[in-house]
Amino acid sequence: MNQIIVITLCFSVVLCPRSFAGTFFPKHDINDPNLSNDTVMLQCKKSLMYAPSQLEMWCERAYEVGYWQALEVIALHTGDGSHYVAEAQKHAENGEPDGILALAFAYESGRFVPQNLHKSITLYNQYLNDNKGIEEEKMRVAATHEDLYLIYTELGNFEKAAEHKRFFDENNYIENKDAILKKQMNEAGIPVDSEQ
Amino acid sequence: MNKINTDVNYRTMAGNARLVMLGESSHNPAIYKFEAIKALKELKKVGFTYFAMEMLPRSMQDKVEFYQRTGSGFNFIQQYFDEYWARGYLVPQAYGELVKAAREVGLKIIALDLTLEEMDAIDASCGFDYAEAKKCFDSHTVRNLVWAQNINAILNQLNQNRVVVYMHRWHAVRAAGYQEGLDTLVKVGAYQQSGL
Repeated sequence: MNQIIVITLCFSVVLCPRSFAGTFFPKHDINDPNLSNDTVMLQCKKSLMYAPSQLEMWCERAYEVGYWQALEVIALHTGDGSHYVAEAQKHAENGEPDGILALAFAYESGRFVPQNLHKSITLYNQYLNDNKGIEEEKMRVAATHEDLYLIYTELGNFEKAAEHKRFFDENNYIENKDAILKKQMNEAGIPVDSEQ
Repeated sequence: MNKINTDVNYRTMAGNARLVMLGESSHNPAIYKFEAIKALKELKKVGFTYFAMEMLPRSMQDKVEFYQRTGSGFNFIQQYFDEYWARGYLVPQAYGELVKAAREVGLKIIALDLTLEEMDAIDASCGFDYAEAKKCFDSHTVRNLVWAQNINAILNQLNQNRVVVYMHRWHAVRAAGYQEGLDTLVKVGAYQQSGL
């Protein structure tokens, strides 16, 4: 595939008025007792792009109601991932897939920790060993093989890369992803084909 | 920031890439859109043919094409920015100028996004725990998947097609660990198309 270049415009913000996020960010009352935990977490995620001034408020509430992963959103916004990494470490040590994978991605991407692809590989393999054959984890297992394929490709270990690519090819990961996407879009009444 | 960086050379940065993603690190400052206008002018000169943007929904593609063809009907596009993209001072106008500039330099304009109603329907169908386990996709991921499919369709149509995409940077790259960014989704789509 030809090159893909991501150019990130990262000018510092000279003037940053309170943003009017419009309806991309629903105006929920954080103190509403009827607000579901899922809605709180969704507000946290949406605030990253649409209401950064409200991010810490929503994500801290999401953390309080049980979503430790909300700390990642705070970390992406503030640049300080220390609390998030510590929490991921704790959950990883408990053998929880969410924690193991979160830590693996942190080391893979070099986000909040120094990049360490070998540590990432170890964690991804730990997850695979723990979740082999578990139907509930089928998609994440295949996605992990895809991550390992990309890492080994970057390391130049094409034999290992091919091994992991074989797994997600043989398990129709891309096709399964497409099928999930189409099903969701059909059920939501969204046209599937591009309008091009 | 007390110094304007005039050293940016988009032509050099793009090289022979067929896809360039310009990722604004915040939707709030108008200045990023004006910087993108500079980029479009330079990239058109080196053969880029399409301009795709997050800030217009696919359902408006007909109106976009009408404006592109005739120069009329821009008010519908500006109205959309005014209603949904009022992130800060002069931001809707700046998005409008970006669309005008793309038309003026001769780039074919592509409206990438879902509508807000479609995003809400997707989020209603997939809570955080299921999205993290990749049993379904949240609206952020669905948007990325749909955009990647659209972009790949354009790139695969003709070898001469080269695309500039304008979006928030958290679409261009992976946001949370379970939310793939366009940088990997477009590559995976390309591998699938070519049978690799």
